[in-house]
Amino acid sequence: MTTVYINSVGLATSGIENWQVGQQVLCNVIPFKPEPLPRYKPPRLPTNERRRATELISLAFRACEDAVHSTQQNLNTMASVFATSGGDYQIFDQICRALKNADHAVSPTQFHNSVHNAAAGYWSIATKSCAPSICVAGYDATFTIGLIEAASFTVAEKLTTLFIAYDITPPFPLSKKRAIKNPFAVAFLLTPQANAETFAKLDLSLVSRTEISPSPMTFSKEINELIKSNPAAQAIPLLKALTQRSRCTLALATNGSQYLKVIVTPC
Amino acid sequence: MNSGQMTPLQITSYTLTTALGAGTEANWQSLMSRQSALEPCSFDGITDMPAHVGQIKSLDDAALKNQWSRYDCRNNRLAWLALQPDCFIDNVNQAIKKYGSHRVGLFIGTSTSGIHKTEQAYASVDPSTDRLPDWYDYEMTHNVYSVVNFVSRYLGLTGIAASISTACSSSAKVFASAQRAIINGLCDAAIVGGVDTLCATTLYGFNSLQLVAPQACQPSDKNRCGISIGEAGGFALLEPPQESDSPRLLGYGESSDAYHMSSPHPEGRGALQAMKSALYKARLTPQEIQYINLHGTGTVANDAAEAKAICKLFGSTLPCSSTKGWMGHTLGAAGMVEAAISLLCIQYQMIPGTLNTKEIDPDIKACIVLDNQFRQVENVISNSFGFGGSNCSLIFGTP
Repeated sequence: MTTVYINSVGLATSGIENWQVGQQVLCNVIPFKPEPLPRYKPPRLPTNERRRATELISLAFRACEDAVHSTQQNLNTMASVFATSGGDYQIFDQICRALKNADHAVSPTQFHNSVHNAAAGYWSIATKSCAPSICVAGYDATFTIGLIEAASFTVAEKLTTLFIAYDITPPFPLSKKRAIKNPFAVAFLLTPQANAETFAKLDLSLVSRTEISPSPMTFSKEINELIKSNPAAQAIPLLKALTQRSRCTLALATNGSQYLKVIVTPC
Repeated sequence: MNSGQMTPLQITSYTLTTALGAGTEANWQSLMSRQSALEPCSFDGITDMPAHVGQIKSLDDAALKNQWSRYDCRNNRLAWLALQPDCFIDNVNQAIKKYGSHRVGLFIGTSTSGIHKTEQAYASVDPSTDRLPDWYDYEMTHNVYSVVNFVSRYLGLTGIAASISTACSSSAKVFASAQRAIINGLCDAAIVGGVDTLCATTLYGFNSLQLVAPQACQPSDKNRCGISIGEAGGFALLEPPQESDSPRLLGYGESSDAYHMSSPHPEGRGALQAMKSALYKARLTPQEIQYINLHGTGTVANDAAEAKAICKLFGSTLPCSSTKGWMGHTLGAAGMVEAAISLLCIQYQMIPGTLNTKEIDPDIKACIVLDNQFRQVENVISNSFGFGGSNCSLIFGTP
């Protein structure tokens, strides 16, 4: 069993600008209205990098900034685990279109932004953190794979770690081959030990599905659609558990035969 | 716990396939005979750019068939090819028998995965509808998890499986993730690997950054002017130590430059931190390292920054070399390729001298070896650095 502590949460998706709004939506205090997110310029990024930041990087930054905005933890020694199932679909679309032109002129900025770890690179520049950063993917199980990697890292290295899962919607024609209906980004500030900011403990283990009795959890039709709309939105059951302030068990699918058993305990 | 020092892992089996050939034997023979596989670029009809590449030509006609045909793309073809040599699959099967298929983890590094399939699909877009062709399967080819999906099914693995994608450090970082997963009990053993293949995106992309050498790359040379891109695949099976004579993963160190997306920190700040961290985890002093396999890409900035970091930590007498003159910079597979080469250096007690390099840059003060040297090699550092300032150093050694 691997145990990590959650200090804070960040969230951004259509109609939910931050975790504060997200909690109210998940607790049915306010209705869920999936409207496009307003434009966002990552405040922590230096001007040059801000100019080059894509929609994917801005989305990732929204959740990261939301998760760290009130922490006392030191950002410039913080490690990170970035999980995105597909990376920057808009850049892939633009580069593949450019490659069809006679001059094959690929934009150098787009090329360096096309790497799967682009947002992680920008985040390390923004926070001046030289700590390790890991970027993982697991297709539709990317959130679960990322959470396992982040917990494994946090415990083994005894480092405060920002874990973020995020995906944007692909443009046409890629959208016909990869259906992601909503942008979604969620971030968790994890620590290996409890501290004054800790508000929940996660006990994680990989077991067979039959060994887990998940706590009952129901969502509105709209939230169920949101969960299905983006690999990163697989975080919603965990987010809901964090709003409940009572012990709760989740079963999260991996791509293998095992499930990730998550016991959420409020602190 | 790894926050301090690290529990070593046994490398039970390993293999690599590059433009030099399939398997450790073919690659080692080319390293011994100093035969480069780099040739003028003709990949996929790309001839409008002066470049040399390390292309595995047999991939062009090696389509995955039958139940694997959905996965068919250049990258998964190479994954299949790279699994075959060195009895690697037999060794994996033994590990599955010993631990159970759900207790063997899988961590593969790739940077571009099967993006070449998307390039081909865009070239075949129906102009009347702008739609991608029916034969194009994004999930099974381009997506960065596709190679992990394919390899896990092909090997019959059902445990924790992740794709690690941090540009050119990807398949070095898989060793760190696998070690942590084993220590944390998420799996009992792990297969790590790296697979990356040629595609127009990386060729034209690196060319747009003016980082591609027209001739075969010349790491650390005073006239070096960029990389030669290659393709490669490789795998290793990691287990807790049991056999006394198997080589070991002794340490890893990861860091971020926090400096620039596509240029290394000029003083090699992140590289220094990664190497320091790897030494600390391995409980080794700088004096206990006999050889560094450089990231050594052949770009002006990388080779200068890496050498500065090495001199700060090791001085200027520790033998270092880059092996990218043989098969090129294999990007997301480079970490795994150079891990395998480091293990071969330990096995055969030889350091391959940097190929193609004629005159060492006088500003590079590290000890760059130009000729193959037979000498005592117990512990080796292998460096891998990537875009986004992602750095990883690995230490391999004898028990």
